[in-house]
Amino acid sequence: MAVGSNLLIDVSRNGDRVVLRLGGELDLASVPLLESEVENAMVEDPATVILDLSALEFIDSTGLRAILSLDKRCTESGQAFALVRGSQQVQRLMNMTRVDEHLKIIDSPEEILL
Amino acid sequence: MREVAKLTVPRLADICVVDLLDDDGKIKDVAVIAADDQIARGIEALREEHPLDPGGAHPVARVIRSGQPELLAVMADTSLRTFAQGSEHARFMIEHGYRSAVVAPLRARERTLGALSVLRLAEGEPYAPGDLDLVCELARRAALAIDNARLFSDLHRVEQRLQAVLVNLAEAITVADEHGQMVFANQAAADLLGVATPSELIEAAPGTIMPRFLVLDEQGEELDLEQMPGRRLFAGEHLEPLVVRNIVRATGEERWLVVRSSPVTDSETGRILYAVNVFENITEVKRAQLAESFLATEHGRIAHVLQRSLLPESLPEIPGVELQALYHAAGELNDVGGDFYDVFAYGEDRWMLVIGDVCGKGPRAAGVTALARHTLRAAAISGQSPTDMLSTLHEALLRQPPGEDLCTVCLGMLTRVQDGARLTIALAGHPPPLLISADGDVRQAGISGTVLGVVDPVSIEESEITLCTGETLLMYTDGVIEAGRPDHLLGEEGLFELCAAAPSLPLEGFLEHIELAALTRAQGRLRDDIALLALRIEG
Repeated sequence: MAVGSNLLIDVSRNGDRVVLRLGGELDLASVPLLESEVENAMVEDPATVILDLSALEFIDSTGLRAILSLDKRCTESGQAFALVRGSQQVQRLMNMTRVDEHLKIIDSPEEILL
Repeated sequence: MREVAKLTVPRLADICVVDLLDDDGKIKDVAVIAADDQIARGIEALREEHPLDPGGAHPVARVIRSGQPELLAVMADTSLRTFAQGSEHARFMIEHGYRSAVVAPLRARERTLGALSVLRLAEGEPYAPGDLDLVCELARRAALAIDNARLFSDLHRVEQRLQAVLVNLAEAITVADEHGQMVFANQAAADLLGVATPSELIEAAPGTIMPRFLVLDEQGEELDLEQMPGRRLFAGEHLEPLVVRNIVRATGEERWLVVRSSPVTDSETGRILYAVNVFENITEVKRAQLAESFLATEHGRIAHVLQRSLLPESLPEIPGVELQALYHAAGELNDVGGDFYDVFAYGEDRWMLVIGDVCGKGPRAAGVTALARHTLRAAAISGQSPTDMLSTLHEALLRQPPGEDLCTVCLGMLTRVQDGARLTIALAGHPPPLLISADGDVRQAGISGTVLGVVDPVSIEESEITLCTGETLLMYTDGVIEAGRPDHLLGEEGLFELCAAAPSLPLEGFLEHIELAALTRAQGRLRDDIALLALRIEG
């Protein structure tokens, strides 16, 4: 469990699938923590990366940018990337920016196996 | 004292006691000489344990108070008891056979220093009046000697201390009288005031040295020499240490000093005789401080100026339409934010309203903001539709190395129509503008579009609205609705509520109303910038 000033990250591995579960706020201040955890996770070269936003309370444009970066990185290296749907505020941003049309959004980490 | 006492024993007395007054008026400092050493020790111990009461009946106390000698030719046990300092004292005197005594005051320079007592015990012959004169004479001489000895040692002690202090101090010290004449100066003072030796300062007439200098206070205001603490002391003022900037007029050489002044008063009259001035050289410290604060301020100022230059100097006049904008940057002066807005006229009777938000802070975000504003202006002027304008900007952002400059934009192209205005709205990832009717109904306008700069391709859709007299359109950045996160979030709902009050407020007041609400939610500390752009159709 990684804790920044306002962000919690819980990392779990299941075979070649890694799930980063976020809690709290993903913003300008806490993005570096996410980036650092992502780096750690990528060392094992997982086939699938899941960002679980179900417990995330808040996200701003820098948080969004970090997610888009991660998506781009996974695409470029042939890894699968998905987001577990977040709270209303989180989804509102995804919706307003139409980023949800671009990213794979699932309802739970298990869904990816289907 | 002991010398004095020794003179009298054993020829004149069996016991001689010298009692002196201390600074508090207590009878202390005893010297006791006796033929029998045990008795002497006993008296010393008694004085220690039961000090004589200066206001009491003991002959020593009486003599000190009156300044007159006393002859107690024969002392009976009963009288011993009356002035004994307790039963132990009484028993001592009776046991040892106190018989006869002379007590003379020790007086010098019109002050009573104490008393000299001579005592004869049991077998001795009682004292006679002749003995009184002798003892008084002895006491007089003794007093003078004691007084001289004290003065001398006091003076010597003070002088030594002063010398040690002055010589070792790096601070410049001067002592001046009420006329400004310097009576003392140390070498450091001579160095500071640009003369070779302290004597030059002392020999100089008042008012000849100081005009060589321009003295300024911390704010840069010139200081009159009469304002210096050392001068104001004489007026009865007690001042805090003063920071001054001392400039040599002839050379421009500058020194920062802290000046502290203390009075030397006459102990008898309380009049201030001299001012002791201490000058501490803080030039290096001050320069470092100033450099640091200049850098911080300049850096902050530069960032601030940069930020301000990213916003329009003034809003154009649109006939029949009132326009207001409000910008509130979050955080420190140094943190250049990414919010921007713009309003410009282009083509025939056409205006473009822009509000946007570049992801992040700092110089890069500021650069992208400038790029956004100018790219949109150029695209508009070249005749592009709002949709195309946004695509153009998107392309421009993608071309920036290393990429990933997220930018959200809301465009409103305005043309005037009968009794109002028509707006074509195009959104790219930005919160939709709010249309507020004259009754305070609030609804969102526009169709959501893709955020610019990362996701490719982008999807933009235009939509049209019309505003009539009394209606308000509000464009805003997400800093407004995110204010107070996470616990007191204003949110879209909160903003809607604030907007319901719009028709009853002047346009500028309406924006301030929103700003205040956001600040209140955030408890004064906004985490993201706020930009608001609003228009209202005039009636």
